[in-house]
Amino acid sequence: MSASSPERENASAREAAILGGDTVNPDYIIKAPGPIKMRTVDLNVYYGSNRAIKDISLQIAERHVTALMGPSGCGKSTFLRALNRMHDMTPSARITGSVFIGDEEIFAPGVDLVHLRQRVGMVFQRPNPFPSSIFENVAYGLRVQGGYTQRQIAERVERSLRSAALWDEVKDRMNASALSLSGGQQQRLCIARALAVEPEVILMDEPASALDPIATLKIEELIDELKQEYTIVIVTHNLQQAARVSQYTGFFLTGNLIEFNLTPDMFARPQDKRTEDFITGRFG
Amino acid sequence: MGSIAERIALPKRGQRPPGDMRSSRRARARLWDRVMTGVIWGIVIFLAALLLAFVLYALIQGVSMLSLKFVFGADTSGTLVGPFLFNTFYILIASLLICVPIAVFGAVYLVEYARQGVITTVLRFATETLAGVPSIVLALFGFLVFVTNFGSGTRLGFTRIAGILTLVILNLPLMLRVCEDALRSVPRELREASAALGATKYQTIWRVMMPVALPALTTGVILTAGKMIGETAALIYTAGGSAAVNNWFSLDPRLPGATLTIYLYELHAEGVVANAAQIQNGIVALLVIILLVFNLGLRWLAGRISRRLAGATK
Repeated sequence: MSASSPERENASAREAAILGGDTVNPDYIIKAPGPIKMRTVDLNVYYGSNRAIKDISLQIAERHVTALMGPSGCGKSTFLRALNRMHDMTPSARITGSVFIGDEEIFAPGVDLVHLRQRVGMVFQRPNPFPSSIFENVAYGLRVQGGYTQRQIAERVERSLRSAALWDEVKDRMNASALSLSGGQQQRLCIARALAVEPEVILMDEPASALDPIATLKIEELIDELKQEYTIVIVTHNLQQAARVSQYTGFFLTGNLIEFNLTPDMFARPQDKRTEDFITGRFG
Repeated sequence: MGSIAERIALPKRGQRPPGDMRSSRRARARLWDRVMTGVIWGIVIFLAALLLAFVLYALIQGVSMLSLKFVFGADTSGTLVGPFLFNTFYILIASLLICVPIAVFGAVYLVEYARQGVITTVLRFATETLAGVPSIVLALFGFLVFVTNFGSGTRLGFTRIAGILTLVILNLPLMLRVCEDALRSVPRELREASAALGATKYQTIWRVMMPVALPALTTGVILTAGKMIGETAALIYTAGGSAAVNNWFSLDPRLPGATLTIYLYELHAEGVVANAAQIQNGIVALLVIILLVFNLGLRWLAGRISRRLAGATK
C-alpha cells in the first residue's frame, strides 16, 4: 500500500470510496494480438514514499498507436516517462519492476541510456524547441551522436521535416529561429527532431494539449501517418483524441491500469464501471 | 421588446446605469491606478535623471582633461596616468579570467552534479556569507596571506598578482551565485528534450544550457567587472599604492599594481600635487568611459553569440 501517513490513508480511503479503490480486474487487460514492441512487467514508480504507478503490466503493439488516458494525476504521464527512463533525471523517483523493449530490459545494469533514448524518442506536452535555428533543432540528435557528415545531416533533417509534414512550411527559412514558428509548427518541429534520430518507439506526452484545434488535427493526422513506421505511445486526457488516433487504449486511474483494450472495443463496451464512468463523462 | 429591455435594464442616455451602485469604489480604483502609474513613472524618471546627471557631470568636468598626453604621457603633476590605467585593465582581465571559469564550473557542479543536501546547503551558505564580507576585511586577509607571510616577511609583496587573487576571492561568491541562478533558470523542458534525444549530461550542459543561460551569465560578468574596475579598498593593501613607471606595459604579475581608483584615492587623500582636483576629474571621466565601453562591448559580444546560436531571426 502507498499509505504511509494517517492523512494519506484518509485521502486514499476517500478517493477509494469515489473511484472504486485499487481493485483491478486482470481480465480487463488484454494482450495485444500482434507483434509486441515494448512491455512492462509489474512496473511501479515511487516519488519518495508516494507510489504513483502500481504494478502495471502492459503490452505495446509494434507499429500501432497506443493511447493512455485518464484524469489528471492518474499516473499516465509517469508511466510514459518510465518507458525511456526520463525518471533518471528526477532524484526522488524510484522504480521497481521491468520494462522491455524487444527482449532487452531497459533498467538492467549496463544499459546505455543514450542508446535507449535514441531508440525510444519523446515528444513533450508543451512544444520545447531549442532556441536555435530550425535546422539545428532537427540536427541536434545527430550532432550529439556524432559521426555524420554535413550532407548526411542535411538529408536526414529534410527527411524528418517531410515526415513531420513541416518541410513545405520551413524549407525556405531553415536558418530562422525555431521560436519564430507557431505553436503547432513548433510541436511538429519537435516531432521532426525526435524522428531525425530514427527511433523505434515515439512517446508523446499530451502532444496537442497546448495547441489550437487545427494544429491538433494536423498532429493527429501526422500520428496516423507515423504509425506505418513507428510504434507510438500517446498520453492524452482527451477521450475523442484517444478514439481518433489509437488502436489500443489503456485507462489509468490513481496509478492503476484499470482497463486495456482495442480502442473501438473500449469505447463501445467498457468493462469496468470506472472506465464507463470516465468515458461517459461522469468524472475526469 | 419592452419586457426584454426592462429585464436587462438598459440605461438611458445620461442616466446612471442601474446596478452601478459601487461606481464610487470603481472610480477610486481608477484614480488609485493612475496615481500608482504616476509614482512608478516618477521613480523611473528620477533614476534615469540621476544616472544621466552623474555621467554627464563626470564627463563634462573631466573630458577636457582627457588627451593622449594625459593618458599615455605625464599629467600636469608629472605623474604618469598610463601605468594606473594599464594596471586597471590588467587586474580586471586577469581576475575575470580566473573568476569566470571557476564560477561557471562551480555553478554547473552545484546545479547538475551535486546531490542536493548538506554539502550544497553549506556551500551556498558559505558563498552567501562571503559575499557580504566588507572588501576591506578581505583586503586585510589578502595582505596577510598574499602580500606577507601572515604578517612576517614578504610573500608576493604589493603586486598585481596579490591584488588579483584578493579580487577573485572578493567577487567569486557573487559570481558563483549569479551563474548558479542563470543555469537554474534554464527551463527543465529544454534539458529533458536534450536528454530525450540521446544527449549526455555534458552535451546538454554545453549545447543547451550554456547558450540559454548566456544573457544572464553576461549580466553577471558585467556586474562583477564593474565592481572590479571600481574596487579600491581591497587593492590598496594588496596591489599597493604605486605603479611601475618604466616598464608598465610589461605583463609581469609581480610588478606593483595600483589602479586608477587607487590613484584617485591618493590624489584625494594625499593631494599634495597642484591641480589635484582637475586630475581627479579627468580620471573619473576616464573611468566612466571605460565602464560604458566595457559594458556595451560585452553586451554586443554576447548578443552576437546568442544570435548566432539562435539562428537569424528575420
